Amino acid sequence: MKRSLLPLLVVGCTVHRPEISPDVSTRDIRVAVHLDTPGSVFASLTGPGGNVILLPPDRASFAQGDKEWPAVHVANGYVATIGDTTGLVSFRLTREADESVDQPFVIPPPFSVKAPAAMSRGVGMTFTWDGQIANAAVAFSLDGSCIVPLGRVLGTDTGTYSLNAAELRSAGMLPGACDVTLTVTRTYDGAEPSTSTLEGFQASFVVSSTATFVSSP
Amino acid sequence: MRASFFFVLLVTACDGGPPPPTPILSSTLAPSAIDVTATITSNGSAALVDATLVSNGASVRLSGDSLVASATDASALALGEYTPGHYAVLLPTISQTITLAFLRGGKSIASMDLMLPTAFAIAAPATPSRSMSIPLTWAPGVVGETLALSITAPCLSGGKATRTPDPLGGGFTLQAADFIAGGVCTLSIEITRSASMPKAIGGLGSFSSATLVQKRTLELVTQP
Repeated sequence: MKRSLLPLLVVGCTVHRPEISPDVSTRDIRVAVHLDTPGSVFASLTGPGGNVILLPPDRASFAQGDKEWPAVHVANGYVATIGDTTGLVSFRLTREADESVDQPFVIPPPFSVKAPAAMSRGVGMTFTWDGQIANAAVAFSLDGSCIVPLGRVLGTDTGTYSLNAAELRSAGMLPGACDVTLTVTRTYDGAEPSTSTLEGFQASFVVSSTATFVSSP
Repeated sequence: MRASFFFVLLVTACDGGPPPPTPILSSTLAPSAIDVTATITSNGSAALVDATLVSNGASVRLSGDSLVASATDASALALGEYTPGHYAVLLPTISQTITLAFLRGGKSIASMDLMLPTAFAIAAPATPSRSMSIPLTWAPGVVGETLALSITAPCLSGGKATRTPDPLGGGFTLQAADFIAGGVCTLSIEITRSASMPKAIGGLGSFSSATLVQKRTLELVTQP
């Protein structure tokens, strides 16, 4: 009886140990990059057995031109503080006993949304946003206490969108005025083609911008 | 003990649920006890008349009675039962008014002229490009009508989109941002204009009603 429980205990106690970089070839490492907190970028390194921890002299960093930001180890990956850097950046994996790589990717810049200061739901509205990027996915949402929430995923990052009056419905029994927040979210896969020998590289960024305006019936 | 337990389980698993209750025969009811919920949908060349008959929540089967639809340009046709309590007929008509009558013993007991919403046709550019706005136009509606626009196409995010045009307006503009870039893409556009008539059919049950729909579709081939 006790013996029959052994497999359960073994399964329950299995620990997923991270791999250390001397045991993993560069060609077996997959890297995923995304923005962490504002001003910092996060990279996860994954090998065939799970997360990869870099042992010196192996190191990770991010670079743009002659600037380089070292990435420090945190839970499940590496983080570098890059400030407000945007545009073409490289993820750099420097190794002495294996191949080093420079994998370029693009960090989309912040953008701004422009909406009318006041909007009548009986008229409709047009709003705009800047910094269009080909192949970026854009979504927007409208939220306020006096309107029925509205969200939509767009197909193309054109920088302009219009809503007609019939699409802007009042919430509640008595239509009123309120502050409405418009949020435009741009999702972008920033990985650039390269000769990097990494097993895989992914760079995903989600950047949002909001505008608040007064909506009246 | 164990066998009977599994037997119960098997019976439960194989049971398709209780059989549907037998519909009440209409001949046993006064017409005023029969609620008729009718939906009439026109595509511009024919009208599908669909009716559900209930009495106090129970399905009603026509027995010795009939529901008949007619129009000025179409002979009267009796609705046929397609599932208990549900009846339908396709009436070849372009008329805006459909007459729905309840007959008992061949004699009209209750009848109502049901006016369809404003008829329309969808107009679109001959060679639309998704890189620009695509205006769709149609005849404006009137107060009391609602309008819904739905599109399915591989070049839409998620493959489909629904929009709410102004029901009194005569068009809606699809925006370049709505579409994903790519090659030639066919938009399957459907516009429905609806109106409701509560208590539409005098002489029948007080919960009778009618929903009247004009539905139009358009397959629009778009260029990038």
